[in-house]
Amino acid sequence: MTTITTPDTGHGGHHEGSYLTPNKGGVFATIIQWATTIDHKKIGMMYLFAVLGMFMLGGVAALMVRAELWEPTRTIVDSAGEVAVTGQLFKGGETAAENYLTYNRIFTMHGAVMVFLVIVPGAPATLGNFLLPLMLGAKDVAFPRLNLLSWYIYLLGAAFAVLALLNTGADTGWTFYTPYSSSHAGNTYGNIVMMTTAAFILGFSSILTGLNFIVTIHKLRCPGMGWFDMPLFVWAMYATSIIQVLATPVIGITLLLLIFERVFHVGIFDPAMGGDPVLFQHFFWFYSHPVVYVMILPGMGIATELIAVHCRKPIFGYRAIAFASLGIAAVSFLVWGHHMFASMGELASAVFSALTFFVAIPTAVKVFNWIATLYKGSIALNTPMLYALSFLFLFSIGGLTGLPLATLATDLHLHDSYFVVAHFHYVMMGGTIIAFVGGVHHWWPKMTGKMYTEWVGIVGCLLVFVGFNVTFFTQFFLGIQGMPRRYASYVDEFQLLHQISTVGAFALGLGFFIQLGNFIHSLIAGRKAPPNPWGGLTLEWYIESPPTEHNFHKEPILTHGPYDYEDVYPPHCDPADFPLPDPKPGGAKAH
Amino acid sequence: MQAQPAQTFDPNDPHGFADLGEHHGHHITSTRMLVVVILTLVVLTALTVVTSSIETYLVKEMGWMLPEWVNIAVAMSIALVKGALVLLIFMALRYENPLYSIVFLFCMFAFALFLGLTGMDLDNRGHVYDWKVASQETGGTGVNMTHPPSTIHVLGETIEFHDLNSSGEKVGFGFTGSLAEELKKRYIAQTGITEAEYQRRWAEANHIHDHHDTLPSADRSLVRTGLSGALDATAHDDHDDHASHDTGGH
Amino acid sequence: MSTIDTSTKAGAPGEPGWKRYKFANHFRNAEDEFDACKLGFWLFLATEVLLFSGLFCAYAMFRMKYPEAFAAGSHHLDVKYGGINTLVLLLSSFTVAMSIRCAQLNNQKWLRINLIITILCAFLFFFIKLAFEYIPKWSQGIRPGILYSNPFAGHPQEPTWWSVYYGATGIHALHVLIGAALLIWCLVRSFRSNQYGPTHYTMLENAGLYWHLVDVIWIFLFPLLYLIH
Repeated sequence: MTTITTPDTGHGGHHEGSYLTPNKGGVFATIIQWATTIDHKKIGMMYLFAVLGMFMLGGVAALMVRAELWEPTRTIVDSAGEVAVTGQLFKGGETAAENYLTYNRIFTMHGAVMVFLVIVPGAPATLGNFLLPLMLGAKDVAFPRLNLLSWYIYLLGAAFAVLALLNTGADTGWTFYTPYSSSHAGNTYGNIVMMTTAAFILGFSSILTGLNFIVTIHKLRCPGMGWFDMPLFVWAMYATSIIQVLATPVIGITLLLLIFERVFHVGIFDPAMGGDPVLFQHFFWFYSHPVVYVMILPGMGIATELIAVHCRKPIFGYRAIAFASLGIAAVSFLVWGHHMFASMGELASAVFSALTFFVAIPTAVKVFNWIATLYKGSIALNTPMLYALSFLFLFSIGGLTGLPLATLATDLHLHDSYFVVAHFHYVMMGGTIIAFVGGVHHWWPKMTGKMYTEWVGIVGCLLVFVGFNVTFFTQFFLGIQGMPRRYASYVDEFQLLHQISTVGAFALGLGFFIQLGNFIHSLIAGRKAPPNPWGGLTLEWYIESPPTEHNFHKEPILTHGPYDYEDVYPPHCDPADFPLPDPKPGGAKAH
Repeated sequence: MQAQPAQTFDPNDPHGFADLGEHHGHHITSTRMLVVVILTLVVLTALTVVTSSIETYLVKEMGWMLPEWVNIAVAMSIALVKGALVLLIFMALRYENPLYSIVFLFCMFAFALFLGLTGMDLDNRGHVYDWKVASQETGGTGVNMTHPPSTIHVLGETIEFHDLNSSGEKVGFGFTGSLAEELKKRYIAQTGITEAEYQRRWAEANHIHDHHDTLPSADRSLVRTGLSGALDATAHDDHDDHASHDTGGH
Repeated sequence: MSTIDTSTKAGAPGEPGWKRYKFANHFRNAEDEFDACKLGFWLFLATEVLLFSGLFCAYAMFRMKYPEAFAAGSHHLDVKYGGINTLVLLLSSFTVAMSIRCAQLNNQKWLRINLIITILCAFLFFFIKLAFEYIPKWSQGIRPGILYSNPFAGHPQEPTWWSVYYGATGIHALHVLIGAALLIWCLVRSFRSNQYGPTHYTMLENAGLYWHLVDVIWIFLFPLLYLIH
C-alpha cells in the first residue's frame, strides 16, 4: 500500500550529509555557507533563531510592563509636608508624567516587536519555510534566492526596529495612530520614522515569503499530490500567503504616507494640515486586521497537524478545514472597521459589526472539526499534543470573547480596556504562540535531529498554560471593571488583580525559559531523533532527521493522503507501535 | 524520471486542475492585433481629452447644467476600457492561463473593498470630531506646525518666506489656521499690495482671465448628497450649523 | 554548495543564451519554471496595484471631502503634457509588447530596437514630467503639504491636493525609473549573450508585464489628475 519511493535512512550507496553538516572549510566557511544559502531549511532555521531572539526581547518588555503595573503610582505627602512619588519602577525623567513616557516606550516596544518581528513572520517564515517544500515533496521553494532576499530584508527591518528602540524608542503604541505619531509624539523626531521604516521594510519580507509560498504550492507539489492531498498546514499557509500578498502592500503605502506626513506634513492624515486621522485608521486596519489572520491561520494549521498526528486518526472534515482557511482569508478583508467602532459613524459601525460575526463561522467549523478528530482518537499526551490542547482551549476563549467586542453596544463599554488586551492575547499568544511553540516541539526532531526531554517539555507546557491563564484571565475582570489599556497607573481597587496578573506573567516567562533550556539541552546532549518519532504520515516524516540538503533522494510519488491513519502504517515505524484500526464494517479497505 | 501510473492519469495533477488553462505561456500575439490595440488606445486618449474639453466648454461657455458625475463617469469609463485593453492584449491575460486573471481579479476585489468600505464611513467625521477633542477644519488648524523657509518665483517676482531668529538664521514661521490663509497674509505683508491687487494677482495665478471665468468647481450644479452628506458642511458655508446639528441629534 | 542549480551557462558555449539556458533543477521542466515565474510575477503585480490603491483611496476620499480644492489644483495642470505623456507611455507599451513578440520569433535585431524605443520613451516621460511639471510647479511654491508656499491657493485644502498629486505621480515616476532599469538590464543581457529567444524569455516577459502595469496605472492617473474637475 505505501509505496512512497524514498530510500530509507540506512540506505547504503551514496551517502549525503544532513543539511546541518558544517562546511569542511571551518567555522568561517560554515558561516559564509549559511549566510549565502538558498536552502529553505537553513533559511527557516535562521528565521527560527532570529524570531526566538526577538520573542525574548518582546517577552522581557512584557515582563517590564507587568512589573511596572505591580503597584499604581501614588503621590504621598507625609506629615512633614514632603511629597514622594512611589510605585514607578521605570524612571526616565524628572516628573511622574515623564516617567510615564518610559512606560509608553516599553509597551510600544513589546507590541511592535511581538507583532512585526515575532508573530507575523513567526510561523510562516520558520516552520513554513522549513516544512512547506518537505510536505509537498519538493526540493525547495519556487524562488530560493528570493527567499534568501526576504530573510535579509527581515534582518534589515529588525535592525531598524532595534535602532529605534536603542534611540529611546517610539511611544505611540504599535498602531502609530495619527496625529500623535505625525506631530505630537513626545519623543525625538527620528524614532517614529525609524520604527515606521522598520515596519515598512518588514512588510516586503512578508510579501516575498507569501508570494514564494503561493507559487510553490501551485507549481511544486510532488506527483500524485492534488490540492486535496496536501496537508492542512499547507492549506493554512496558502490562505496566509494570500492575505500577505493582498494586504501587506497597503500597509506599505500607509506607512510611507505616514513617514511623509511626519517629515513633510502632507496633510493626508494630520488634522493640523487638514488631513483626516480616521483615514489613517482605515488604511492601517485594512492591513492590520487581515494580518491578525496571518498570525492565527498558521497556528490553526499547526494545531491541525498536531491533533491529527498525536490522535493517530484521520482528520475530521478535511475539506471543511481547508475551505474554512480560505473562508477566513476572504472574511478577513471585510471586518477591519471593528477596530474603530469608537471613531466611525453608526452606519459603518453597524455594517462592520455584522460582517465581523461572519468570522465566527469558519473559525467554529475548524474548532468543531478538531474536537471531532479528538473524539475516540488514541491521544498521546506528549508535549506537542498538550500544546495543541492548550491552543484549542485558549483560542476558543479568545474567539468567544471576541463576540462581545464585535457587538456595538457591549464594545462601547469594553473598548480600549483590559478586556480587549486579554482578548487579543488569548488569540495571539494563546492561539498563535502556543501553537507555534507546540509546532516547534513537534518538528524539533526533524529540524535538528535531536529529541528534547519529554518530561521537561510537559512541565514547561503546564507552567505556560497555567501562567498564561493567571495572567490574562484576570485581565478580563480588570477590563470589565473599567481598567483602560496602556496606562502606567490605576486606582487602588485594581491592585490585587494586577498583582495576580503580574505573578502569572512571571510564571509564564519561567515556563518559556524552561522550554528554552530544554531545547538548548537537546542540542547539546539530546538523544538522536528517529526519522519519524510521532508516527506522522506527511512526507517530511519519510526522510531522515535532519533531512539531507536535497530533501528527497528521488522525487517522491504520493500514494496516500496526509491523514490515512486507518490504511497506512507510518514510515520508519514499527507497525506494532502504530497498529491499524480494525477494518470497518464495510470492509472495503482491508489491506 | 519515475514511472507514470497510467497514461491518462496525470500524477502532477490528479484532479485535472491544469485543464482550466492549457500551457498557454507561449502564445504569440500577432502584429496586427498589437497595432489595432495601440491605435485604439491613442484614439481613446484623444477622445477622453476631447470629451473633457467639450464638457468644460458646455458648462462654461454655454451655461449647461451638467451634473458633475458626467465628467467623472466619462473619463473613468474610457480609462477602464483602455486599462482593460492593455491588460487583455498587451499583458495577454486573454490568451493566458486564467489563473493570472484570477490573481488580478482578487487584487481588484481587495481594492474595491478598500475603497468601498472606507468611503462608506466618510460622512461621519463631523460628529465624531465634535464628540472628541476638536473638529476637523478645512485647510487645517496649524497646531504645532512650522512652515519651513522657502523661496518662490511667482508672477515674475521672487518671494522669500522666512523668519529670522535672533542669530539671523532662517527659520520657519509658526501659524494657526490654514496654511493657505497664512501664506496670503505673508504675501500681502511682504509685497505691500492692496487686497484688490491681491485678488487680481490671485486670478492671474489661477489662470482666470476675465470676470466670467471662475475656478472650476466640482459641484457646479448639484448639491452633493449620498455617501458624503457631511460635505455640505465644507461645501456650503450657509449650512454651517450642520456639525452642531449632528451632535445635537445624538 | 548550493543544491539548486540556477546557472545559465550550461550547454555549448557557441550557442545563443536562450538556447544554452537550462532550467533550475528544483522545477520539473522549463515550462513549469516559466509558469512559476509568471505566476510569481503576477502576484507581485497585484501587490503593486494594491500599493497604489492607497494613493487612489486617498485621492477618492479627499476628492469627496474637498472637491473644490481638487478642482482648483487640477486647473493648474496642463492637459497637453499629461496627454503627451500618456501617448509616450502607450507607445512604449506597444514597443515592449513587440519586443516580446520578436523574442518569441527569434528576431534579435528588432527585439533590441523595440527595447531601445521603450527605454527612450521611459526617459522621455520622466523628462517631460520633470521639466514641464515638477520643476516649474516647485519653483512657484506649488509643493506638497507644509512645503506649499504659493500665496494664491484656490482653496484652503489645496496643499493636500498637491500632496496627493506629488505622492501619486512621484511613486509612479519611481516605478517608471525602476521599469526602465529592468528594461536596460534586459537590453544589456540581450546584447551580451542573446539571452532571449523562443524557448526562454522569462525575464523579458516579466519586465514587459511590469512596464505594462506602469502604463495601466498612468492610464488611470491621467484622467483622475488632469481631466476630472
